[in-house]
Amino acid sequence: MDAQLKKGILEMCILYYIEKGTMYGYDIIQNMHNYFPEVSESTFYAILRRLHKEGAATTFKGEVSKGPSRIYYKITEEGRTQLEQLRTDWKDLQNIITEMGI
Amino acid sequence: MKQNLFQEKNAITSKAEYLSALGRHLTWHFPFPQVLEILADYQEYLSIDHEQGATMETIVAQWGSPKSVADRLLEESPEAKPRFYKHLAFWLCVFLVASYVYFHVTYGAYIFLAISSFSLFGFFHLGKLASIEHKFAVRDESPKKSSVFIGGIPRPLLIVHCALPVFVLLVERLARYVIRHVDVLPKHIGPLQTGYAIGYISCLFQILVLLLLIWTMFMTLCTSVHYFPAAVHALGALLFIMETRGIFSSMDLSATGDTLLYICIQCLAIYGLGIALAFFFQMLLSMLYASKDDAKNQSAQGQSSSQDNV
Repeated sequence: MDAQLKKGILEMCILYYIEKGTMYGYDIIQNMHNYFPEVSESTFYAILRRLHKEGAATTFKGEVSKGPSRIYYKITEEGRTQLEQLRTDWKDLQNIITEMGI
Repeated sequence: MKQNLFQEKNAITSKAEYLSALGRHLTWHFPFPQVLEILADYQEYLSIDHEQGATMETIVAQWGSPKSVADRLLEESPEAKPRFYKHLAFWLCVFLVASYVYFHVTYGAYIFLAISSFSLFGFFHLGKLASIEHKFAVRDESPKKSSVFIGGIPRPLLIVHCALPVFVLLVERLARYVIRHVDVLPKHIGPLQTGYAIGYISCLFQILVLLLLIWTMFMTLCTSVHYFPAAVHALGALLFIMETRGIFSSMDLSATGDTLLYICIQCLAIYGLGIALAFFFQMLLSMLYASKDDAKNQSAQGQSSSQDNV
């Protein structure tokens, strides 16, 4: 698959996933990897990090009973807008493909 | 393929090794606080896998090699790219300017040494890896293998630099002794004339440095720009040895030992200046990082200060 197209899709999936609720980074990565087994975990981590840097997601530390504190991810308003945009784009693309009969 | 040959030839056997290799790949591309952040995340994730019973082999297969992790992060971080010292062209310019100075300016060798010491800062920069190794190896229970690197600085290089002042002082002592006892010294060492023998030994030394230069240049082209400071530095050392040989061969041996001492002290002073300059560049770089990160943190704090509990 085209790298750019794939990245857009992965980004949308991650945003959709954290929109459903606050998530621990490791869980996001593992769940995404279950859906896309051919994409390495590190790719998801890199995308997650970028989303955080761009302001689409915020992080905060959560204490765990044993071990070091964990970093959780949460979607921001900016992220929601971005997700809506991606959804629309993706639906448009789907419509075009269906219309063409591919 | 080339990178596989040189960089990933040793299988990673512990989490600490994985993290320090990752740190090594990231240090040149990301500001240091960000490197620590990424490593902390990876330490957390690898620990979970480890607790679930995954071996290091499966972990590497799952997350990818440290190099590929760094590549993925670079792909997703456009702002990490424009770091001037990351480009080979920058180092080539330093190299060309320094070479021009060497051949066209009086006292060029000294200036060259000062410029090539600029490349030493590259090694100091890698010294940050020492703190990475320290920080991330502590919690790792697997035994740490001894490595050819001490805090990212190759062990031989460290030994050579520590031994250099001692070597210079020894040469000075030896030269004084030779001047005092020139009449009783043997004219031949084996079948060779003493003068030629000394010439051959210094030639051998020069060849060794030349080989080091060729090796570091080769590694720069085949693996990573990390090796380029070493190449510039080796060239600096090579030219400096040639210059020193020139001075010694054209020197009036009837001059007193004090002249020799003067030359040795001069060498040490320039050597110290080189290291001081390297530290200066390193500090400058740290300050650049600090100011950029402060600006980022201030804007990020405003957003996340209200969300500190779960």
